[in-house]
Amino acid sequence: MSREISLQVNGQPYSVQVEPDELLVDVLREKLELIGTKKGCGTGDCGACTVLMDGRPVTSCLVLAVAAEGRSIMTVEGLASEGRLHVLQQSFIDHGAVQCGYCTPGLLMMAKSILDNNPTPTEAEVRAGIAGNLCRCTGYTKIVEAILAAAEQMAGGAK
Amino acid sequence: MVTIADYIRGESVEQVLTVLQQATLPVRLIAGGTDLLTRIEPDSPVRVLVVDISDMCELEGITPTDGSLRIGAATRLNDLCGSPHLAVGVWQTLARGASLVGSPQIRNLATLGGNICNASPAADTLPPLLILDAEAELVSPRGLRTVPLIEFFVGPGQTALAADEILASVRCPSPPPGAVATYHKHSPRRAMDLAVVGVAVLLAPVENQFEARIALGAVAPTPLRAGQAERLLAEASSLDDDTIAEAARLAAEAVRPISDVRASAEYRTAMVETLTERALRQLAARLA
Repeated sequence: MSREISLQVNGQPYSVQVEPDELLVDVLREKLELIGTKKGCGTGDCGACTVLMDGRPVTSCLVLAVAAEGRSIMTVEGLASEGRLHVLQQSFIDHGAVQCGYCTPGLLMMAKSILDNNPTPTEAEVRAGIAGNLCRCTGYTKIVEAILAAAEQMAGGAK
Repeated sequence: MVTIADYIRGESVEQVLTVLQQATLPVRLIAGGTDLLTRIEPDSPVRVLVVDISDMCELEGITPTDGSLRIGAATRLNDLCGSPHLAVGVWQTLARGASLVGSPQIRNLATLGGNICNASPAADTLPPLLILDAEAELVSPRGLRTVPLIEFFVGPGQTALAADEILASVRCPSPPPGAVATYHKHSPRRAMDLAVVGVAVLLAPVENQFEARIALGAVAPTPLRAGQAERLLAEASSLDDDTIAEAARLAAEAVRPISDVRASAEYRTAMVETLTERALRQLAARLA
């Protein structure tokens, strides 16, 4: 039985008609047309679909859209503000941490969550934090460097 | 595989119990939903009603009472990892088990009750719960009943939960004074992997002897306790190398593993002996 749900995405209120078996990732991409979030495996293994739900990173392929009723979602589209890339996004570019780019939106959201909870993580903490995000191009070295550099820059006050 | 025909967000235990009684479709309770949502198939003939109990305050949180802990079934695994109640003593073993499930993203969705009710013999919270002598608190229209967690598991994916019952919480009694514990997970990868073998051990001094609890995961249709090994250790006067080796051998005798894509039965059995011995040596050194 389809129903209308209300949720916030990147600070904007949305109402959308969903089926009981629709996944949050599909509703974000196909009904709200926020295609920044990628769907990789669809079974919670790759982390490409990571978004923040009420501030916590979750794989949006393992969340029913109906269960997101009343929640606040942040996707990669919510990172940049006023036409300026987020420090993490710029750092990924500067460090060559993007190759095919499919894992990047999920990694950026996970990285944001890591730094939200711990502004000065160690390399080991970053690596543990992104353990659920697969990258099959660059490997992880540049991604870890990009996150650590962004942390340093943000701690220096340049947000 | 199932199709989700309808969805209800649970608001109270009472309402959920009523839904369970009156539903015309088979009901699947979910909290995080991370197990069920990997088994959806749009055209499956099995049409289910999903009842989501993830947002019910009465099923969430960790409550300490006189050294014991009650943990709500809908408590998320990441909230276990970060809980101050589980940051001390033998409770750390449960936090560690929870921290080894899936990824950070999955642990923000997945719950302790879900990990228990999914009843995978390889679930990483189960050996730690078994050495803590956990009990399952089940609620139904008939009231509350308590089942020792070791009896809750009937087979892979099968539990003692009745059709009209829900797992409300888990209660772990106060651990023995001076107890130490550890959980060893053996898996090819350090993250995002299932246990090939999981071994949890608790050791406590009792006068001039010891109490030992050994729980094994991924080596039988259900997680289990190695009773014979525990009795040998309880009767031993010292934890010398021979005693520990014999206990590890008895633990390996208790298992009934399968051979699958992850490991052969022989390998699992050998690893139970190795990891039990390693854990016992570590804990004996901490008690010495």
